[in-house]
Amino acid sequence: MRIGVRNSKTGRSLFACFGLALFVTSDPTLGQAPDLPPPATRKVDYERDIKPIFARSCYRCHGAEKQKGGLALHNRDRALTGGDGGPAIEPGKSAESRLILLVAGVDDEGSMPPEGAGKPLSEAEVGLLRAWVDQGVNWPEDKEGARRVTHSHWSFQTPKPTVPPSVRQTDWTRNPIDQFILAKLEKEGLHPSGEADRPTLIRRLYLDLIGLPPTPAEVDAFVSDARPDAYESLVDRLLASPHYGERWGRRWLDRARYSDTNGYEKDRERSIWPYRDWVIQALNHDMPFNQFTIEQIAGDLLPNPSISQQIATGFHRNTMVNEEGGIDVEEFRFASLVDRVATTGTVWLGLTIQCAQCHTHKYDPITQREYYQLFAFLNNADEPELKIPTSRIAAKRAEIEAKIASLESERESQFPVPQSKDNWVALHPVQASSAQGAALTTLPDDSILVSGQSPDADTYTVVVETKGSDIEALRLEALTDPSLPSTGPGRTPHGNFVLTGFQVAASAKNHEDSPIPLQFHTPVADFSQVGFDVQAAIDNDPHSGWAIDDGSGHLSKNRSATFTLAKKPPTSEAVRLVFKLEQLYGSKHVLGHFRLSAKYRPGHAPAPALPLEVRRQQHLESQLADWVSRTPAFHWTPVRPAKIHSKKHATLEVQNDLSILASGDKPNNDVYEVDIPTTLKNVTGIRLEVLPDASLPDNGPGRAPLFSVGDFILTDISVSATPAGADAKPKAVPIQSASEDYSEPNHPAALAIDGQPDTGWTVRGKTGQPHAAVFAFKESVGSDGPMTLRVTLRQEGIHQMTIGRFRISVTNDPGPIRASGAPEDVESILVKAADTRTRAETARLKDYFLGITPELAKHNEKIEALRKSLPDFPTSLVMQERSREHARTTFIHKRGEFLKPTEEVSADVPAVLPPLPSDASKNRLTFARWLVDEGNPLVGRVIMNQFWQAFFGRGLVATVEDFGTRGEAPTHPELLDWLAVEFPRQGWSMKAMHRLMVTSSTYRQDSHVSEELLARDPKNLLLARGPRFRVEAEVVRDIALSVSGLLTPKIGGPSVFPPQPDGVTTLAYGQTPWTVSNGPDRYRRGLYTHIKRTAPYAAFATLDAPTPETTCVRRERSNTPLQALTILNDLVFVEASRALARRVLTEAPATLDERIAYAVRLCLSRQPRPEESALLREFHDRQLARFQSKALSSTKVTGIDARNAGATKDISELAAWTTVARALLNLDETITKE
Amino acid sequence: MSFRDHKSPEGRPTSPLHVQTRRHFFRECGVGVGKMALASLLANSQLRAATVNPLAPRAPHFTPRAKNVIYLFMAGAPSQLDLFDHKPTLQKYDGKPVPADVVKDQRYAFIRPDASLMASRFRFSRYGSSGAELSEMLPGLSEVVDDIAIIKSMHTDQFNHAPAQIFVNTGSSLPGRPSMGSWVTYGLGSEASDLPGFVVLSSAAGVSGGSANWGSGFLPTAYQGVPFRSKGDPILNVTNPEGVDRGLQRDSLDLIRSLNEKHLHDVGDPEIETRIASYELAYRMQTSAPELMDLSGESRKTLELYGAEPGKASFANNCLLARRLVERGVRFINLYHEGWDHHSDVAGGLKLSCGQTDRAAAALIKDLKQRGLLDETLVVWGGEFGRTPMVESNANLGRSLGRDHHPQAFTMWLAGGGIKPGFMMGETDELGFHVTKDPVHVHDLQATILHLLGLDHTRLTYKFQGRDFRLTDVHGNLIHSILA
Repeated sequence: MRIGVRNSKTGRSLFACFGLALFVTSDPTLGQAPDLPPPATRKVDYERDIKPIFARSCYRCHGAEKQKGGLALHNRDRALTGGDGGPAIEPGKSAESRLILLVAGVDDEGSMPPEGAGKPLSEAEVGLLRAWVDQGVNWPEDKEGARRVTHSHWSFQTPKPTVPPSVRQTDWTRNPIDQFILAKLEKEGLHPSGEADRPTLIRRLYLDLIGLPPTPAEVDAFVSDARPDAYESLVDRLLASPHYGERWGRRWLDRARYSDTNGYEKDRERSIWPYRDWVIQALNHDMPFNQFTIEQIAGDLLPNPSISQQIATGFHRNTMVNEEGGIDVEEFRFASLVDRVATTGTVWLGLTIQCAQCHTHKYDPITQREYYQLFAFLNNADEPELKIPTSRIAAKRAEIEAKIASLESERESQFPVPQSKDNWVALHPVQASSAQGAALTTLPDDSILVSGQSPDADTYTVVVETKGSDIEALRLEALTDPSLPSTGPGRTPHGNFVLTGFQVAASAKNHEDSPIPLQFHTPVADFSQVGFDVQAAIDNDPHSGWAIDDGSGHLSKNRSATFTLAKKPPTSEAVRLVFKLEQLYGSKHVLGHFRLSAKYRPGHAPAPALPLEVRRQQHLESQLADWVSRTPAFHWTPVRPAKIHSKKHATLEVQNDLSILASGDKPNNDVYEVDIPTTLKNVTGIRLEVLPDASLPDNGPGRAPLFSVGDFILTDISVSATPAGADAKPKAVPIQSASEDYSEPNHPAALAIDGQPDTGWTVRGKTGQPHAAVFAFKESVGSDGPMTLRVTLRQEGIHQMTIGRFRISVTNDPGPIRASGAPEDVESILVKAADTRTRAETARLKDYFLGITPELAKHNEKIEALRKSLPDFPTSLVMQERSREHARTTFIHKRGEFLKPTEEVSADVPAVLPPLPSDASKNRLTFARWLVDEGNPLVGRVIMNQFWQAFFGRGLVATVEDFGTRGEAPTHPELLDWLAVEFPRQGWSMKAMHRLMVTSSTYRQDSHVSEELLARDPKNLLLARGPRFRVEAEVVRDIALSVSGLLTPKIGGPSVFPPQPDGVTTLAYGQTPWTVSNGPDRYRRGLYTHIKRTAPYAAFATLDAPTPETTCVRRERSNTPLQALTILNDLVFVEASRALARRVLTEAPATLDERIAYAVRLCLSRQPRPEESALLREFHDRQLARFQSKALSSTKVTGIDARNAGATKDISELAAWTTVARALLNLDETITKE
Repeated sequence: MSFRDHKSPEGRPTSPLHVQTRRHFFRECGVGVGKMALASLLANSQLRAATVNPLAPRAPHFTPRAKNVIYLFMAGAPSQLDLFDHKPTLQKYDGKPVPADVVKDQRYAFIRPDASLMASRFRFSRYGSSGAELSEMLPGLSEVVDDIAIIKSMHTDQFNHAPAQIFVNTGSSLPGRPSMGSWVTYGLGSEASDLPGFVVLSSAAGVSGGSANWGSGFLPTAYQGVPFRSKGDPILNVTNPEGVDRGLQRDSLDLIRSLNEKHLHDVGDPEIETRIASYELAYRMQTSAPELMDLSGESRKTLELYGAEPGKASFANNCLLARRLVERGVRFINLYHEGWDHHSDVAGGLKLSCGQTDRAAAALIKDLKQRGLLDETLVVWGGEFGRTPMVESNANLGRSLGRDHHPQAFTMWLAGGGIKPGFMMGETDELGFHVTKDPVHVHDLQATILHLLGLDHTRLTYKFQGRDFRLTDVHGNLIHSILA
């Protein structure tokens, strides 16, 4: 992409141009009719007139065998489709057809055929072509021709079953492989090498099949195994080893570009190790290669895919993810698709398909169109994280969840019982009656609930008996109750009452006949209605009294009035009090629920009459009632959206509960538009709930994958209303205020209506829970009937902080509308009258209250801590096909550029390869099956070649990644074909093919090479000798750990962090520290080492491990001083040499020669030769003398502090052996498959 | 063909340091290779040359102007508008929204397209006989302004850090292609007998593109950049394990060599010869690397010139190390200095970053010049893209008075081998938004760097996956006017 360059030669200020339309100079040639020969005037026949011209002048580059520029002219469909540059023929419009302009030589960009490439067309011929185009491109139907793209290149021909050639030296061949190899050797006049000796063979097999060296005991057993099939038995044992899957798994991981981080700048850690485990297990179980392929490419599309089959799709999730701030996420998704196409092409087809991203392949028969048709197969998947419900974690979770449930069930019994501090004691009524026949019921908490008849005016009489002498005051509590109108406390429809008279008479018990009226000081109420002061209750005026309407519309509150005694009641052991509560105001202004209490002189309160549990319940009920009365609640109606739109193509789907769940593309920022039709009139506000969901990071409610995981930012919200009706126009609905149940400190919902585009509402700190924000309108809207509200949710932050799941509700409750702070279901219960709540609803209220009440804060903290300790299930990155309605469209991209989509294409396979089954749906699963169909001429050859390379160091086709026309020719084409045919015949068994290769005489040859043979065949193309190569990076490490006894043989699990020098990871962005694993994880096999893309593990990078950015089917093998420094000095190898020394001194007999022999056998699997022993002995003795003389420090070399040398009897000897071990680990032979 | 066949730009023969051959490589390995192996080595054909030393010096395509490159990579993207590209018009329109038709549909990382313009807070003056305009933030550079060439018309395709850095270094925005240093050492080999041919140094924070910036991609691993630590051991594992002294190390290597030679005799695989040689070279690196890092031999004046302090990790120390690496024949040196990503407080950020780098970068030019090395060393200074004329502010992210990423125009400078000193090229519009004269694309810069080293960017190719790849993909035009 080049930017346009602005010419400022005129010197005119840009500012002079502000606001002016760009002045475009038009091309004077544009629109003019080109100078073309006239069309022929007769009826043109394709076979007679046109095809000969095409055949003569065009097919060479645009026929069945070659399609330069993507254009083929041998078939109608393909010709009309055009090439990379678009259509070449416009039927009926010859003067506008590119084909005509080019053959007539009047096109700006050249003429056809190009000079030297064929005979130019005569004017008459151009005229014929013009006529043919103008007459509608008459072309007899030729269905076969559409597929008929042929290519003479060998790899596109179906491999033929070949008969292994006969050979002269028949006693050498063990299986057909040998016949092919030997036949060629004989032809070249060469002889195969003899069989390698048994120690060499067993080490070779161990390193090739399991990637670990054999122990001396294993070598001995093999050497002395006299059975004729000793070798084959050994092969079978190794193929059955669980380490086989690790060895071959690492090779496959090269293809999969496995990494533990996302790549690019942030390069954060990802969890995809379950995919690595899947590979290891699939190989260990010898999963047939066709199934192995199908599960990795399309496991999610198999019927009822298992967890394992979904994990397998991680293959194509190993692509990078750019998480840098301010990127276009889609741009890098496109890049990952490009990588997936390239990887699929390299690994299964051995083709450089990626070359056709920008233009039709220059060398191989793949057009640009076909490239994007392949792209389309892979372009329709979402990329979620899969939770893997392992039984171990599930059990642990169940255990903790049981604890949580138990603690939750205890909450009610843990509710505190209040200690009366002010000596107030509820008076237990012995008698309560209504003058007008209402029913007065005493409740367990000594309160009295009024029900039944509802007279306009009434007088209640309540009799209590109590200790009399120490009473200082009496109190009347007017209480709410769910059964009352508006929940009380009074019985008017709005819950008010008027206490017009409060009289109490006292008498000593058993002297009820002489009551004495009590006198009070000025009474005090916690609240009195204006004009209805509590004083009026004792003024003897039946028209005035105490009432509690505070004008808020919410009378539903507990109120109390206290009456202090002017004079103590008569002294007596027990006193009988008769209360008369006059409520003569009328209009049902009578109490519905109340309680009477007495305050005693300190220290003189009688013991509470009620049991502890009853008082606990009373306290809980009263606290709950208090909370209920304090919590604002509104009637919210969730609305089913009529239309939802994500500006950045996130998939938004309405759930059953009317919430909207986002999935699919996860853009850096987004704008959602939600249209909600409502019939509710006079809407006063909306509520935006943001909800958790298991599909979201940390359960949401946001989609942010990093930094503030699970959060979102709502930077702006706006609402417009469109009345129903054909030509109604939307009108903005101004928002008055915003409130929320929770926000990150300093990030309230008010920031979403502040007009600032970069501030907004976030919920960091409480993700994983539902939250709600309420936006109250300035004025209600929709007085005239149905309308549609459009809610626009701008989430214009960075780092993908968009909302994952949300729901919108409307209300027409009168203001001020605000967030209740309670969950949606609780709020919907709160707005119900208490007497209409179901038992379950009442229970839910209580349950919720128990979870939030400060009275149980400590208890609830325990529950919260347990919740936080719930272990997460491991996750893995997987593919998930998108539903039909959200299917992505694939386009051809001009010059392969992400921002230049041109023509739409549908999924298909290149015409040079066999077609898809005609009845199959063109999806990823069909594509996967096609890849491993026996008719695919490439896959068998390509995979067999990769296997061959693993054993012999070089493929039969050296360009393992390129079987196209530019690749190298196979050295043994018949052998390759024979293997390719044999593979499916063996049920696609990889182990069977490995067995076949390693049991051949070819493989079993000695790898020694003479000067003559080296000169004759330096690259060992003819295989007159065995393979000899340095092992891969991970195996270099594994050998050192294994021979020293340090290796932890555990298979599978998350990646580990073995030591590496400081400063490796700090070179990359973020300078992530490398926290070294200790314990057994320090010594795991190399394939478990954490792979960070921007800062690869140093020792492996040095030893030619590939970077995981692109697929690798062929590793480099270099031989550099940095490798020497690594094996000499890296801590891993230093520890291995120390451990190897200890091992030798512990396990070998105590003579120096025997120790040397043992050490050599550990490292090389063979006995030392005498001159080698002599060199080692001499070295050992010289170093030992230096350690003994303290010229060298034994403690430093052994890493053992003299104080805790402990069991180490002779530290100088250990030190000397550490240096011997170090030298042995560095031998060329130690790190080489001989 | 070797460097022996070439004259230096001044017409004098190139120094003996630069006329090494493969044979020299082994002869200089000291006690290295045993007689038998050496004999077989020398008797061997061309075939073994490649397997033995992939870094053996190779002939360029044509006479080079420079032998080595020191690339000062200012990672994070310095603001050209506050350092080089003076725009008085921005003063006039400071705080006014940028005209919509200037922005068009350019995408930005963080700002909105209608952000306000922001003038530089720094004073600009003209310096030297070239009269180049520089901001007051670059007092050091102002002293060598007549030795450098400034390109104000750089532009790139990428506007996110990692892809853009990787693009400058490898010609592709996606990681996995060979880096410039890898291409150069692949094309020319190295004349450093006991140090890697391509060295990477980093100061300040980590680099966004990470190791992809110096990876060898599909080229052999031998060509990948070797990150040197600027403190302690420069090369990972160059120091012996604790308790292993030089004598023990020599004894150990002799033992390893003897055993390997015996095995070579038995097996005959020439790869063992290479192994023997690589161990000997490793041993020599163990001497040369600490010697390289030991600044005690540098004069007080030199240390002061750079602002270098022995033992301290800094850009100044890295610049001095770069000179020492060049003296030792290292072909390509990449110095990363991260920290130029000034989304907020661009003025404060530049004070800090320039404070860390300006003096040392200028010192490097002066020092190379006074030692006669500047003629054969190409020095390149620049970031991965430019910064917007518009202000970046974002309350949520706590940003104000910053500048966002800007791929359309940025400034770089080059100096030394083959570069026209005191030269200025390219112009941008009054806002510094678009290039208006002599645009230079990243691929053009890459083509020019290769050219100065005697390599034709269209001919320096490597066949991989069926096609010939090159650093400049299918693009790149030589910047003729900047050549001396």
